[in-house]
Amino acid sequence: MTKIHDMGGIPCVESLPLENTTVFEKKWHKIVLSLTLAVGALGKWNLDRSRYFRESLPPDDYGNFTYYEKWMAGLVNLMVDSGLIDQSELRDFKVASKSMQGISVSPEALKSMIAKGDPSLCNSNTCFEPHEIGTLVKTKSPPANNYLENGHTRLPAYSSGSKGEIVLYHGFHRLPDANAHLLGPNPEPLYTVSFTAYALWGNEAENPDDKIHLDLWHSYLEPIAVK
Amino acid sequence: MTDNDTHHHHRHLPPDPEYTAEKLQELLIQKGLVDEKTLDEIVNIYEHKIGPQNGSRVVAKSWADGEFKKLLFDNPTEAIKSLGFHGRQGEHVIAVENTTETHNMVVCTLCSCYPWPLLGIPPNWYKSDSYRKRAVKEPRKVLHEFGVELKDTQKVKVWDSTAEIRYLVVPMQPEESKGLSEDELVPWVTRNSMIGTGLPTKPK
Repeated sequence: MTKIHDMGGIPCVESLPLENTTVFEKKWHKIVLSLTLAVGALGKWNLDRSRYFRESLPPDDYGNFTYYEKWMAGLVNLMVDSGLIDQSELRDFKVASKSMQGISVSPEALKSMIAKGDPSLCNSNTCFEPHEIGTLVKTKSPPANNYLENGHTRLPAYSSGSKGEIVLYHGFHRLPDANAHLLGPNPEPLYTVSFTAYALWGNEAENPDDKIHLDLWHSYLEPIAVK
Repeated sequence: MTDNDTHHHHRHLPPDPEYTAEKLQELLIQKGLVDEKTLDEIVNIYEHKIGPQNGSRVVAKSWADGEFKKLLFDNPTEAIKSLGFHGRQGEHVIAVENTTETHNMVVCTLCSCYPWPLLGIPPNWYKSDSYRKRAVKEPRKVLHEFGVELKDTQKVKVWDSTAEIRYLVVPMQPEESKGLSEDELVPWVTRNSMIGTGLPTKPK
C-alpha cells in the first residue's frame, strides 16, 4: 500500500514556501526538536523506527500537521509503544508512574551523542554478493516490505519497477525495512542507483536525459541482463 | 501496539501544538525522562553551533585549497571531519560537484533527510510537501522558482536521500571570487547553493 509520506512525483501545483527561513519559527518548535532528541537518546528505539512512526500517523493528521506536529505526534506514539509513558499521563499531563525516574540523559552525554552520530555502515557479511558498479537493475514492484505487510521501506513508489544503473557502492548498511520493526539491523549492500528522468516519468519527463539518483538496498533490486 | 497491526496509529494529543508541546515538556521533566539543561543545550547547539556556516567553510576551503578539494571528493566524511564537522545526520557524507555540464540538487521525498552537521536544521521549504513532490519530477521548474536558470549545456542530477548517505552540493566558484582567501569566500557560499537550489552570491 502506498502511504501518504511517499509523495515524490505526485502532481502538485503549489509553489514552494520560501518565505520563512529562521531556524526555529516558533518557540514550541524548539521544545519539540529538543524533546525528540533527548527522549530518542534514551535508546528505546532507532531512527528508522521513528520515521516509521511518523509516516504511520493517521493520514489526515499527516496531511494536515505541520512538520513539528508530526514529530510531536510520532514521539508520543513511540513513548506509549515503548512504555515510557501511559495514555492517562497524556490525557491529564500528570505523572502517574515514576518507574522511569532519573533515566534522563545529561547535557554532556547528549552533546557527545550528537557529535558521534549513529553510523548505519556495518561490517560486510556473506549473505550478499554486492553487485558491481555499472550493473543494470530493476527496482522491486510493488515497493513492499519483505518482512511484514505494510511495513517501513525506503523504496519510493515513484521509482518502483523502474530500470536504472548502479553508480555508487556504499558498503553494507542497516536495512530500514527490518530495523524499523526491531527485527535487527540485517545489513545489506547499499548502492546509489541512477535513473534517467525518462525511465521514471516517460513522456512526462521535463528533460528525458536528466538523472534522478536514489540510495537503494540490495533486496530492492533485481539485476537485469544486458542486451 | 504491534507492528503487524496494519491500522494506522492513533491520536493521543490535544489539537493546539503550542499548548501540547509545553505541557508535554513539563510532564517529561517531572517524570525524569528528560533534563531541562539537556533540552537547552540541544537548542543552543542547533541555533548557534551547527548551521550552514559549517558547510560554507567546507566549500570555501575546497575552492581555495586544491588538496582539500581532492580529499573532499575522495573521502568526504573524513574531509569534513578534519574541519570538525561530524555526527548526527551526517555520518556518511558525499560531496557532489556542480560543473558546466551538471547541476546537482538534493531532496528527501520520503521525509526530510538533510546533512545536519554541515547545514543545520532544514529550512521550511525543504520539508514542505511541494518540494518533496516536485523536486524529482520537475526539478527545472523548481529551480526556476528559486531563481536558478541553468545553462543549455547543464543536465540536472537530483539526489533523493533515501538512506543514511547525506549529500553536499559543491557549487561552481563564481569567476568574480577567484583569488580570494578561504575566509573571504565563506560568505559567498549560501545555504541554498549547497542544496543545489541556489548559486553562490557576492556578499552584500
